[in-house]
Amino acid sequence: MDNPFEELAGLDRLIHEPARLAVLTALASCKSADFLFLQRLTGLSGGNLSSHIAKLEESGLVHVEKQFIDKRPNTRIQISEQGRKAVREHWKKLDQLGGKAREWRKTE
Amino acid sequence: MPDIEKIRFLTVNYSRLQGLKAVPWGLLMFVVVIWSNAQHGPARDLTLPLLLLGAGVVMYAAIDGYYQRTFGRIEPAGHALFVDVILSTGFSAIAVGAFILDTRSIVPVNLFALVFAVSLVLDYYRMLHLAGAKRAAIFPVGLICIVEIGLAAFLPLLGEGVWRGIGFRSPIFFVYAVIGIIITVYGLAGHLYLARSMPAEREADHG
Repeated sequence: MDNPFEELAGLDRLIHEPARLAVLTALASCKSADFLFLQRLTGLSGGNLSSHIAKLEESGLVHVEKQFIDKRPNTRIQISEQGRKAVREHWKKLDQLGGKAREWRKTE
Repeated sequence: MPDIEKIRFLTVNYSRLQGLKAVPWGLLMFVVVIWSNAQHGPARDLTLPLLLLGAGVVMYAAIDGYYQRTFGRIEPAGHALFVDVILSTGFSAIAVGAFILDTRSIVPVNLFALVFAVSLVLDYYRMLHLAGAKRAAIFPVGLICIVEIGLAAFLPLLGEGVWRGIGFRSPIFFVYAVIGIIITVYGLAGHLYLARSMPAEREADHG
């Protein structure tokens, strides 16, 4: 049996990073969310969250739109189809690896 | 590793967990029931209930603004909204029918409370299903409030001595007053759950 722990180490780090996985999971559960919602959900600082969202946008996993609501700036983030597919596959892989890890035994 | 199930639950059910929005309606229900109970014969002056309704609408709008400014905004997935509207409309119609039957005292239990409890159970199941949550007790206080509303339907069986002893002219007033209190508590519980799950910034900004 393949070593699931080696497969775990090989997961896509762009998506697997905890903050980015949390952001993508939230965005996959809705049509879009604003920056404040994602910040409250993840507990990240504004700078840190901006940095993660920028990485996701560079990779085409999310779209970012800046708008004004009631004359106040608001940043709206939406997951792309590529991002939605990527995060679903990632969850699927995590579930599979979880199952394998529970059954794994060292081969002699 | 983030709690994926909880993130999904919070995001998918964000509007439902904005519990402070339920507080004005729970308080309105309680106060209007107490006011109705105090009337001798059919009420002629509806000024107070109408003023309270207006105040409820204003409070709801203010609370909605508070949630948007404090916790942010999301756009829910389209198909979920459509099903929500259908279910809400359906259950509202059934609830009106239940209320009419209650006023005629056809059965010894409160049908409105039963319908309300059933709709909340289905709503809770929907909250779990939409989020793909496996833990039924992900929002335990919500479950407790739903059970309490269901049990409130059977309060008339305690007997006239109990609800007359507290000062209610009929079991309907008694049950609806209790439901008003439970709705208020349910709303506060939802808000506390949201506020604790989404606290303000938990890490320092490292720039």
